[in-house]
Amino acid sequence: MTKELGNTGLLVIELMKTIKKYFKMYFLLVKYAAAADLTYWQNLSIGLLVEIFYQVAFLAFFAVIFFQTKSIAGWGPFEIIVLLGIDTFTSELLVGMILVNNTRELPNKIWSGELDRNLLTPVNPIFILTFGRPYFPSFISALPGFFLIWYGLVKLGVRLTVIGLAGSMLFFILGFILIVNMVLDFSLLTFFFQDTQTLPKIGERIAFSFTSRPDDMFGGFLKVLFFFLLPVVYVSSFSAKALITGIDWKYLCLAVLLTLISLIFTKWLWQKAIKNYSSASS
Amino acid sequence: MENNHVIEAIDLSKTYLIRKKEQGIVGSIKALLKNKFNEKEAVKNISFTIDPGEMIGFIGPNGAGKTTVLKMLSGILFPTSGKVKVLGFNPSDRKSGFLKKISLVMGQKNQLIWDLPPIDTFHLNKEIYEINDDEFDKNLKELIRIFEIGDILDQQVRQLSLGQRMKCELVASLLHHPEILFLDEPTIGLDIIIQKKIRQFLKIVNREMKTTIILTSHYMDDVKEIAERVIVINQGSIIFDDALKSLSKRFANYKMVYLTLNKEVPKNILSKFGHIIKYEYPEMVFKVSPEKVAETTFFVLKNLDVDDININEPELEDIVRALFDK
Repeated sequence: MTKELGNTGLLVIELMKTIKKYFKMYFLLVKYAAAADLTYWQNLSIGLLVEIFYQVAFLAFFAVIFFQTKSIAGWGPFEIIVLLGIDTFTSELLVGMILVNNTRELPNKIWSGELDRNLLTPVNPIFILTFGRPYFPSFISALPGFFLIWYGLVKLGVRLTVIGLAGSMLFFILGFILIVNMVLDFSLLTFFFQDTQTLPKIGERIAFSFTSRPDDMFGGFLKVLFFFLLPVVYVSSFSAKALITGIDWKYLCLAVLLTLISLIFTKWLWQKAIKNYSSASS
Repeated sequence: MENNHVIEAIDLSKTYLIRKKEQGIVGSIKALLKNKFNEKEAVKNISFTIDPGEMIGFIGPNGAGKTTVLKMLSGILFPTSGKVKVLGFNPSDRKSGFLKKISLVMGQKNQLIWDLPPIDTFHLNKEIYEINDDEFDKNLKELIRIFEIGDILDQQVRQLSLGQRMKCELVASLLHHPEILFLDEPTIGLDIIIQKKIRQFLKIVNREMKTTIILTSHYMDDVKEIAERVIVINQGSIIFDDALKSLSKRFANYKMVYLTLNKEVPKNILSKFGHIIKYEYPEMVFKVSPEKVAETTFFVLKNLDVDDININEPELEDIVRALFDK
């Protein structure tokens, strides 16, 4: 028993060490990405302007809808603002952490053999492929998301509770992992269907088109699709709900279960995919 | 498996599936409807062992399978069949413990962060390879000395010359003191002076850090200067695996005689001694068998007005070319 506890203790220490290592590495990657992007400050400024333009256009779209109706699937304008705040944060982080230099680049890496380098480092290759090259401007343009969340909550007169905040963060983290895995899974299909740039974009399109929608909009087949098969509703919609009305424990459990399944599936797909990798001739 | 081998490959094979597509838009549409593949055996049942500290050159024409072997040894590619152990690991498992003990430098691909100085990549590698501060400082200092890069550490990588970049690539790959260094065309595109320097550096690394070096190159000078043993691959099979000097003994049983004449002579005057390769007065080059060297030299010095005479081993390029032509 003591020995077992000892082993468990060692495992926990190892796990903590690994997490610390990856956080430290990611911090360095972000630092270097910022340094590299700041070298070309004109590009950085243009990148920021583009991201802000997207956000304003998106808000304007919902403003137009609320001129015509008082609520969307039971969500009022300020609830939608909280949802959009979380979604701004989510989509900008998704762009900055995952998409621009990572999953979008996977077909090129496979085609050019640049993937070789990623496979040679003693770091989980999925981590490197997903987070290896952050895109710094998106980290800055994620920040207005906080303002929208704060503004929406103030207008709704919501008083934040520790449990509500923790639940919201938990939904956000689980939902984010689910979306990252979904985007990555589509990108990994590139290993099987050569010569295509389209696959990573499918995952992106699904994520961007549906994370900003209230979950109550979906019924019937769409509910099965976006709650279970392509689970995009948890990251923004359920996070917002946890802040505004409290945690939906049933869906929190479901999100945990789906996250575990998606992690196992992505690992399985990666192992299949990498066996298909033939590199590129030198 | 004997313990003293750092690498042991047994009947290692790799077959690629090459997608077939007919020419033009019709071909593309057909390929869309039905994928056709050809099998290409890039490596065919090769076996070899490598001991610690060896410096090995893999040579062969384009498409011979050299790089494929290197990629299987470093874990990038899964072998189609056969067994391979590198430092006791199965490379394609890509265990962290294995990857921390090897490095692969590819002349045509880089790991340095393009927009930042090389020192930043070195620090990132410190985290990736979990090198502690003292060891990192010691290794970096040592490598800066060997590769003479002290003055370029803070320059943006994109502003470095190709030679400077390659030196930094090698430093980045050696920071964690790998037991095995795989080099795929490390001197490609470099000028002769830098090529020579890189070779010298690699010899120092092998000597001082006891690193096993496995190299593929098209430049025979790389192989000649670095490798003590060569493995010649052609069409996926090993056709020679031995010390470099025995390559010339076995496949080039002749010496090259280079003459610079002061007076023109008939071309056939030396044909009884060997085969004349080139005669453009005042230069004459011919091949002679080792047992006829003394007799030929005596004849030349006695009968011809010679400004200079040189007797050399055949060029490695010529031996290898003859080997592939067989």
